[in-house]
Amino acid sequence: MKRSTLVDYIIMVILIALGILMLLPFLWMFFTSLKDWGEIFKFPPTLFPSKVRWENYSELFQMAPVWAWFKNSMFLSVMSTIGVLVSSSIIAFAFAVINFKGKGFWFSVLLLTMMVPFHTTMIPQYILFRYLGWINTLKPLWVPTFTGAPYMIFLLRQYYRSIPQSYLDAAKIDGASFWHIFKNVYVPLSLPVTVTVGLLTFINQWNYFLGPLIYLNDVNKMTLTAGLSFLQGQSFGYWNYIMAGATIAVVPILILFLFTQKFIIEGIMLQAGIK
Amino acid sequence: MKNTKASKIENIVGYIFLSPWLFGLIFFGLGPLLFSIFLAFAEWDLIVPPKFIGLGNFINLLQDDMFWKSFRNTLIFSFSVPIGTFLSLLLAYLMNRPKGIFSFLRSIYFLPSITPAVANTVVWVWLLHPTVGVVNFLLKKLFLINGPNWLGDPNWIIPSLIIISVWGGLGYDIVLFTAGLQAIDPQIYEAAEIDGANKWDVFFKITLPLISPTTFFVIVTSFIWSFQVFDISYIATNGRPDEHSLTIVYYLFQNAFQYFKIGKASAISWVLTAVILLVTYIEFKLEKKYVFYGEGE
Amino acid sequence: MKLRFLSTLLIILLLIVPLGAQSKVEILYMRWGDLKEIEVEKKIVEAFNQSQNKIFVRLESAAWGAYWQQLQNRIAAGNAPDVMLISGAYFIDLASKGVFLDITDWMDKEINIKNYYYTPDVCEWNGKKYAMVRDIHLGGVMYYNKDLFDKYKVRYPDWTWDWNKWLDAAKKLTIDENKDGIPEIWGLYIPTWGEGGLYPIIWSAGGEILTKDKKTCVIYSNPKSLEGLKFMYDIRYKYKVCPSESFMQGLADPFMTGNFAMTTGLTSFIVGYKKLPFRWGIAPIPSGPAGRYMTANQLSLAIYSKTKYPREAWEFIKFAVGPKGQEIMGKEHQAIPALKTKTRVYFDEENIKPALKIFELYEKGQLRSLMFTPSWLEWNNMLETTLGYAWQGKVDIEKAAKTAEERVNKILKEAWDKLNK
Repeated sequence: MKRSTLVDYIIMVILIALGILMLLPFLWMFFTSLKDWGEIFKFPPTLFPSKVRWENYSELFQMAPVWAWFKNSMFLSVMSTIGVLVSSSIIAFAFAVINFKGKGFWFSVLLLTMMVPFHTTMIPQYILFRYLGWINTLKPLWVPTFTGAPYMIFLLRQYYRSIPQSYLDAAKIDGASFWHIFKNVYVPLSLPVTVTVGLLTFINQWNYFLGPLIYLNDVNKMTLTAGLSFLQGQSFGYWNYIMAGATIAVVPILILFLFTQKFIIEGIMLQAGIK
Repeated sequence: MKNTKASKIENIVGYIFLSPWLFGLIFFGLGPLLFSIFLAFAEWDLIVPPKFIGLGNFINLLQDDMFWKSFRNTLIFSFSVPIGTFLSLLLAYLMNRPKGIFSFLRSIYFLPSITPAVANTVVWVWLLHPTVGVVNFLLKKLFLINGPNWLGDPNWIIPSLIIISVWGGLGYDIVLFTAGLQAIDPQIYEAAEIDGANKWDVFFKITLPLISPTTFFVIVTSFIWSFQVFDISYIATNGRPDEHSLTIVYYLFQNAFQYFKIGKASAISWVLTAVILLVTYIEFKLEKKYVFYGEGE
Repeated sequence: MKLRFLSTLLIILLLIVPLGAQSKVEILYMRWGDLKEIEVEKKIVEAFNQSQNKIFVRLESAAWGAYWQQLQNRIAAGNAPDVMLISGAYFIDLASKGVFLDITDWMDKEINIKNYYYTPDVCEWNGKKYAMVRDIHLGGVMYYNKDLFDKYKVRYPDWTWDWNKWLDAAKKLTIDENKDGIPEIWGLYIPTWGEGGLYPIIWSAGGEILTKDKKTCVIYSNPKSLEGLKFMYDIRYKYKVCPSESFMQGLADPFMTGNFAMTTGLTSFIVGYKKLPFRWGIAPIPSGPAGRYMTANQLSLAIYSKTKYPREAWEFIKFAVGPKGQEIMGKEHQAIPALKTKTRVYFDEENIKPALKIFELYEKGQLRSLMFTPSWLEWNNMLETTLGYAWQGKVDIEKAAKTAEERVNKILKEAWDKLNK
């Protein structure tokens, strides 16, 4: 008995030490946003600002269209989350549950699209979007999400496949259509994963900055994370403002994460009841 | 008779469910993909229409020193996959307890995934500084070892990038593993306890197989991602990687956007894709043997 | 019925009227920058738009990190901006591919080059002119920390300084108080990248990086070049007044840390240094065995070869490089004007005024261009990373230089051969 509590104790220490390591960049980011210009570049670097400067935030709002950026980020992330969730669950269901000809082939193609680096198709895709007239709009960034995200499709497929075959068989015997099975059996049973997919999609889209930088030509149309790139010049960057912006950008995500974490756990307990 | 009719309907329904993705593939994906494959066999400078040169780019790659070096670097970097998967599974398992502090810890571990890559990497660059960095400082004080020049020594740069990337990905993968672990029906554990199974048996014979779908997913996607690493090496080398830290996608990027060798860049990306495809194919072959879907007995 | 007819007529009239008034031509101008630089550019564009009513310039901006990717995407898609800001690193590659409009006639007839600091490398290719210079920045200028000089009672750098005096001061200003082998204050830092310090040092030693025809690298074969490289090596490992490059890891800008008494760098750093908490000044780089040399680099404006409005694009460029545009640029400290009469507008603060004297070296040929060639980025990357091993103390400098020269020559040969095909 005593030995296992010692092991437990050691494990806790390691977990907490690792936790501090995880906190470090976040803390550095936040404290840098409060530092004076001269202190940011001190070497060796300091963690805590010797003089807290909240003006960095108000100056950021004066310099940059932060509110517009925030609204764009919100719009994009919400649209993408809806798009990815709706489409990916339906598509994943097909791959996991329905037996159709060519399933294996199409699944390989799906994975293949994940293996092609973004830079490969960047130029041809740009030409396509130009042809559609979508350049300098947010459309290239959210419209394609309604056709599914390979990573999420794969994730949901794994989860759907782990739902016992017995549920599917029972429903089929009852004469239920695939749509009915999807909506009334699989969706309720996979709430934790679905919420996870929604959360991860939101976060990915929120932090995605390369796309807006390539497709948008107007500073005001940028998202929060992409807009921060405009605080980095050729010779140096306005680190205090960049970190202030980054801190602002992290807050909604943090809230979302804490909120959904609670829901995921409750969802699992609920799900145990449905089963 | 009934079977074939049912299976025919199943075929059609399958494709209906699949249609959003097929639409996206054809409309947004096919054109660019095919064009990019064509570019791999061509020379293009953006103004004059691309010129077909057959296998020219690929032959050039065979003799390209930098390409092979970047390939080697990326291969070594992919060891972050087994390391990361193992660590995140272990941590998820250790933290999979109802007490509130673990939920709090999981949130903390997730922070690097939402902190901008710039902040993450810059902090690590300082932690790994050879003279004033915390890591070498601790190594000296606690273990009396003189830590290496993490980011400057050719032998240590890729391991350093592995450390940074594994550390950064832990929180994310822990969330996935936690979802998988918490979906295991507690009745199975109760049944095992009644049968008198010990902790190790439970872990290896029940837990591990039951989360194998998640493990498989993490391994496959982590590998695909690790072979396309770009951000970390860019920031850690201050935009100037050398032959010991250059990764394939970075080399691709240089060729496409700095050296105007778009055909060559396409060739590089398709070689990369082929390699990833090969490894993933092997992984799927192993899936049949090791991955377990559905309820356990 | 009547009402319908009238309203339709009204609508048609409303459509025609704006069409008629719209004899204004709209052209796109794209540049990169941070928010402050873009603000100033907006002012220049607005001033042009208000000075006449035939042309409307719309400013599009990209972040520095994404500019070249965006530009290439747009060229490939056929919707490149009419006017674009160009840096020398990309100029030749883009000009030789026909991306820019030939503006030789216009420049010869309508611009007096003598009034400008003018680097042909960023404007001319194959005997023709494709871009016009807009601003200038010098590299290899020396920044010095006045507070440190005062504290350790060393005299400020001046125009009499040579390498001996430089090393002397650097030694006095390298301080290791706790005697742990690592100085807290370093006397000197010279960047290992070309523009910031490497090239000026090689030139000041009497060496060259490329042959005059820019087709071969001589960083090893030219013994004077090697002397320059040795100086860069010695300050780190013989005189120990400059840290090894592995120490510089994570130090984006050493001068800003306040731990370095002297550094060399670009004039574009001035904007970032203005709010530093210590007093500082600018001086020319000290004289080497062959004299005093620094770099001069310029950004230029070019017209897209497939533009629908070449003449209008040119009118805007003339304004931007003309007295009004240059005045705005200099006064708001966005960039140093290339128009000689406006250059001094930028240097309105006391501690940076001495830099103006450095511009006098221009006519003497001591402010040199960066030797742009096709594939310039590629061979520069190779040069800098290969020499990097020496700066980290892993390899001795001759070996690194020899390897670098071989690798660079390979790239140069391939680049020039491709063009001459």
